[in-house]
Amino acid sequence: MSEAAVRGKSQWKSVWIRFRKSTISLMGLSMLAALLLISGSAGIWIDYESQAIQHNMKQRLQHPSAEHFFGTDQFGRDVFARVVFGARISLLVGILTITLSLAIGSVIGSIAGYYGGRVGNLLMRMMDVLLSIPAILMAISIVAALGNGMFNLIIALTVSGVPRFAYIVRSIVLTIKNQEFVEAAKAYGSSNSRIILRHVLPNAIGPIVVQATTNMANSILLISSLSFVGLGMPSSTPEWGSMLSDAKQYMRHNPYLILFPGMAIVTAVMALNLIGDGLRDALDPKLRN
Amino acid sequence: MARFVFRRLLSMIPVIIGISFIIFSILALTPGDPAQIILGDGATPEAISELREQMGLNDFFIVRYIRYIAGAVRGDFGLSYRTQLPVLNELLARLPNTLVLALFGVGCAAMVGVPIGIISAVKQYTLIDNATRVFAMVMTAIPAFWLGLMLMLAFALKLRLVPAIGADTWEGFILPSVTLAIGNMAVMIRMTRSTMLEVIREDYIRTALAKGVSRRKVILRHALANALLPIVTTIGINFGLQMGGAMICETVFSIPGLGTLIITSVRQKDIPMVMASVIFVALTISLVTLAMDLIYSFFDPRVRMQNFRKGGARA
Repeated sequence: MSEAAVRGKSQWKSVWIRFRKSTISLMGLSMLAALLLISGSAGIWIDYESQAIQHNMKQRLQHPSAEHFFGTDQFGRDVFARVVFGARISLLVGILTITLSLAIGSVIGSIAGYYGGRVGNLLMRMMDVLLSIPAILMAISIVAALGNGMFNLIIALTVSGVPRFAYIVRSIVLTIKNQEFVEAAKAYGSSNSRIILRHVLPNAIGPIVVQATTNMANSILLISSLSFVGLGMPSSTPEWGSMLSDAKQYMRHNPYLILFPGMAIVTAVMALNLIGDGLRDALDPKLRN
Repeated sequence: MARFVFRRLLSMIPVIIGISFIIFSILALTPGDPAQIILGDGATPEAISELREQMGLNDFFIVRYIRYIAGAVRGDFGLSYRTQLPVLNELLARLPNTLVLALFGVGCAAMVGVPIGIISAVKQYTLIDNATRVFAMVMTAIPAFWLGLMLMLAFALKLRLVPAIGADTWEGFILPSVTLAIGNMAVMIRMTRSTMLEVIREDYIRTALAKGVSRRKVILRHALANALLPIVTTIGINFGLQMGGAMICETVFSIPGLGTLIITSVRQKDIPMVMASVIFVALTISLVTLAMDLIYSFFDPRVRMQNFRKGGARA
């Protein structure tokens, strides 16, 4: 194990010690863990097809009961099952979006920061322009061009997520690239890509993780907003936003139809925000001790 | 001063070109032949190819882009595929509703959020502060459209105090504006609180207190004056988010604004309409950001000195 990796480990240990001091951050972490656990294991104890997809008109619009915790919707589908499977979609799309934006953003940011020059400048100006288009407008344009569906939604959210990661990685590369340990690695004969991957990026992980949690919370909000206006997931999919959109016309007599999917969104977004805030504080050297 | 403003305006041009180019490129990827869409399924191949020629669709991509921009500069954003009427007319007819919503949302949020943020910072870790922080935390996690639905359910459908949908009367704007304001308020509170907390730890605040200036005066005259700049910036940035939020809110409350226009146009594949509206909104946001930037440099003596020093206008 290289020295950098060892140091990295102890650094994360101290971050965790500081993170866990805050009850509210731990609350966020447990909320997210619960969501992951429930949605991850949902396939075992809920039958997706019969509960969340198939219409069952005999049981339509039933209020919450012991049999249907969250009631049933206008097609007799179990709202609880749909909310639980909705978590899968939101979390999956969120995680894929973050991974893709992070990967692409890191490449762009590293190139712009490490090599600089004209190419770097051009790349960052492109990021400037992308950043000046609000995520929702960008997403709507991409959905307008490519059509809706999960794959296009991921592309749309990735494009608007890339610039922020590019900025973070670039600024860290700029501060690190002239430090002695990078010079030493160069003198050792390490290749540029190795220096970026092994020495520069590990130093950028803190701010990246903070940005990733915020971005994921925003992605979840965007996915549901787009689905709500009919530009996200197709309406038969159990997605929180499209469930709310369907529920709108029944909400007067069946308010639970809008209550539960909405609360699911709030829980997921709040969990991620709390974790993000906690990590930011835990990583902030000013707040140490 | 004039020179500085002029320079900042000039620096907007590459951004405007960039934004319009990206949106134009994305929407150019749309599958389907516009000529076919306009003429419908029954059109003959000859008619389609004639219309393609007429619309200049056979030209290179970059030629089409330059032609679009040249038209847009003169106020010609093309014709809607659906109505065959100029896109700009529809846009301008819808714009006021969206602007009213966004402005009211930002205005209310600032008027209520900033004072609450100050109180929360001054009384750090008290009951008021904790309650405010929990409120702000929950509110930032609530999607605007869900809050809108809940408010509609409570105040329009159950209590029947205000109309649920429509923009026919001013009462119709109450719920959507309040929805937007509440979400935005949370951001204002958080921002004001954290900025104030930083400022009241500064040496000059301690100095002022040591000199015997009253606490109230120190907070309002010394601390707030310095905290105001980041707050103004937040208001500017929020305006952009607010336009996005307003677009979704319009759908909840069926308000005919830019948001509903963009969304229905996307559904109807009315690409010129989508293109013009998206570019229009993005430009409005850039202009607001620029205005905030100018206000910022006008009010901050440090930035002002840099920018307006004799001969050296720095953007």
